[in-house]
Amino acid sequence: MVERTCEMRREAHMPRLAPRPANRLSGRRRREIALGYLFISPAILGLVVWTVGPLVFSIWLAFQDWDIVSTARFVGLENFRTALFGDEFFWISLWVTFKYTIVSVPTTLTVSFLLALLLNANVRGMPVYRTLFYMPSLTPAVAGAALWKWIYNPEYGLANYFLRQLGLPKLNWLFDPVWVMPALWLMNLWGAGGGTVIFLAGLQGVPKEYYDAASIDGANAWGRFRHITIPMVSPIIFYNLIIGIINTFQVFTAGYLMTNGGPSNATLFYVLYLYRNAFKWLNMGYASALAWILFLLVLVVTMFVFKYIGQMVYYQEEIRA
Amino acid sequence: MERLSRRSLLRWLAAGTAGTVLAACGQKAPTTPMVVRETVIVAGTPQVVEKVVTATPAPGGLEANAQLTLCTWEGGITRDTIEAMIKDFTNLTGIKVTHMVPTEAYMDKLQVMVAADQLPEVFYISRGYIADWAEKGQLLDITEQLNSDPTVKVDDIVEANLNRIGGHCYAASVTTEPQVMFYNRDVFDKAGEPYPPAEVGKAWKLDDIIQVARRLTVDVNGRHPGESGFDPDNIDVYGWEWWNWIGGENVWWMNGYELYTGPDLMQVKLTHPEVIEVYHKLSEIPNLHHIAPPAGYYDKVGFGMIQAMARGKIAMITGANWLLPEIVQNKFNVGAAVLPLLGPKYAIWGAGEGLSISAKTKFPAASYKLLSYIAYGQGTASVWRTGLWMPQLKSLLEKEEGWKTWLVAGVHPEEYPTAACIPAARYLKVGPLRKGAQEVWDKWIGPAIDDALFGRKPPEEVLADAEAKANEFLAANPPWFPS
Repeated sequence: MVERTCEMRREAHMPRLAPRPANRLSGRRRREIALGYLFISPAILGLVVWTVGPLVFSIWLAFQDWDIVSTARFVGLENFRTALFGDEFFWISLWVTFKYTIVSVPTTLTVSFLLALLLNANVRGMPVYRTLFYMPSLTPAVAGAALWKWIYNPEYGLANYFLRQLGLPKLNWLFDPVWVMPALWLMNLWGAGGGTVIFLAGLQGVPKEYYDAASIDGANAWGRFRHITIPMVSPIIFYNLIIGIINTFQVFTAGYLMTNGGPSNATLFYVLYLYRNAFKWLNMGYASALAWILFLLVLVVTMFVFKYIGQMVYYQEEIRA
Repeated sequence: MERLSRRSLLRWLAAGTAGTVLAACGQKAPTTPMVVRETVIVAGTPQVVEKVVTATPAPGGLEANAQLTLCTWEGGITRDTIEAMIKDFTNLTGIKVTHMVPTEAYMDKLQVMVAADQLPEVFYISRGYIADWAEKGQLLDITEQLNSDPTVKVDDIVEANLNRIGGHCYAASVTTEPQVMFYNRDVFDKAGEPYPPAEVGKAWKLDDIIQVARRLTVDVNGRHPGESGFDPDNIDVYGWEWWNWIGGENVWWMNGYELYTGPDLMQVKLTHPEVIEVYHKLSEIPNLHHIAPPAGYYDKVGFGMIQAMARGKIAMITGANWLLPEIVQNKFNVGAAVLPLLGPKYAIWGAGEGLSISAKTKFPAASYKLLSYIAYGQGTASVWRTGLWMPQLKSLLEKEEGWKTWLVAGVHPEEYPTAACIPAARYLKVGPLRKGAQEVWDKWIGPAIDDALFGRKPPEEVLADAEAKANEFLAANPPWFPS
């Protein structure tokens, strides 16, 4: 009642202005908007020139035969036909990438999540542990590759040292077509700290009251984890899953820096093959077609994941609504 | 500090602009006399002479004010040399040259320049791109200029460096890059073994070098491969670092074959019995003979191949001329030798990178002058003397008078003339400049050789498979020859 009275008093003292047409903006407002656009124009310009422009150009290129040096020639769907029906390396690289994705994504997700659970515990010095686990994901890819090349050194690397300690034979990690992919799977876990931080943020957002209530109802640790933790962080698991799939389909550094696609094309990742077509063999039109095939593939996989796994995700807000 | 008024600012800007314009208009080639060393051919013999020169006018007509851009990927010592060379060139000719050095991904950047129609006048070009770019009309055909060049005879240029496509030349080479063997004399002396031969006529056969390398290879207990108790996991000295420099096209050439058959270059033939036999032998080197450092050896010891040889951990290596500056830096008792024979004929691989002129240059004569100065003149003589590069003229490679002009005691081992120079002039080979050849190598031949060398698959199987697939690709991608 008091609030209502104050409101009425304020209105009584306000100057009466002539009614303004609804859609007309004041000069000051227009200036503000113009200034706003001016401030964000570098970002918009950058987006148009460096992202949208090349994106549109690459769609056009995918239907051309272009080697950068000469004029592009329209070839219709020929680049796509060649990729799908006339290029064994397209399928090899796709299969290699698929193998990498199918193992890397779940393992990285699991390890990130388990690490986050550990780092969510109430232990002294936790900020230090969190920093330590996050740091590897900040390491530049080139430095990481150099380090892992040393770890996988067949004669003197850390990996074979541990195998020797266990009485197992040494492995030619990066030089054996059979073992090179497991080596890269393992290496991918090096960056698990990035996902861990996101999981950690999610875990810390789970209300403590839920655990208290479940404990009162007699739920044990596994029950609380299964019925509270997992559902509550399921949107984050889902987010990490989608990002992981997209990223691993585009893996490049490992194949480029560590193995150069070998041995015997065992690490000829799709994007590495695309890069070689574009910049080494001057098949820029074909490379653009490969890029769009990859985009469509990732889109389909992502939609599939959204349809069949997305429905398992628990969104608290939806229930409230 | 006094605040600058708008009027003052404009006045200063106007004065600055006018000054810059005047300065630019007034720029001239230096006219200070300077001493230049030049190699001249007197009665078929090269001789170094010192000349006092001043700036000479640039070529007349359209190129009177020629300004060139030279694009290279050189860093370190070579960059300094190139820049010193540009200064000398400008002093000699009056032609101004701007040096452009893209830092990384050189060929990617050059391709962007092509797309933007901004190709520099003279530029380095990776050999794998020459055929494609020539076909697309981006490279100037320098055949005529080369034939009428009074400073160089075409017959005197190492054939592999002419980068011919159907008899036409679209790129010179930056340098001559022959394969050479280097060895640590002290390791041989300690083992009581004779030095590797430094003359082609006395070259070891593959079996010979393997046997010598086995005797030079010693484990930490002093045992050699084949002896009872030899420990292959703890080798102190390796006999021969070999594979990365000898297992490629040499195998075909030394057995009298070319990878690409016929003048039309439509097919590859990989599966000759002699070639397969050599690959069987080479594949035994890592696991049976244990004479070469295993993969990852250098990461473990913390130094590179040359340092390992300098420390007596490797007796001999198959390398190339450009290793010399590093060898000199490491100061050890080095010798040079010819490669072992992998068949009845001697042949060495050595593809120096290309040096081309843009077909769209407004200054073709001036550009050629610069190209010729770098490739065939004295432009890079100081780099020859470091050991990194070598001359491209046979007269400088085959004759004692030529050697005297650029070989340096303390840099080039005493056997260098017969081990590196003469083979470079007479036995240097490169693969043909054929459209798609790089792709064929990357996709099929390279991986097949890799599999054969590492013993992953039988050579006859992988080479037959690569041959079939490469030929399918080549049939669909015919070569281009200039009309």
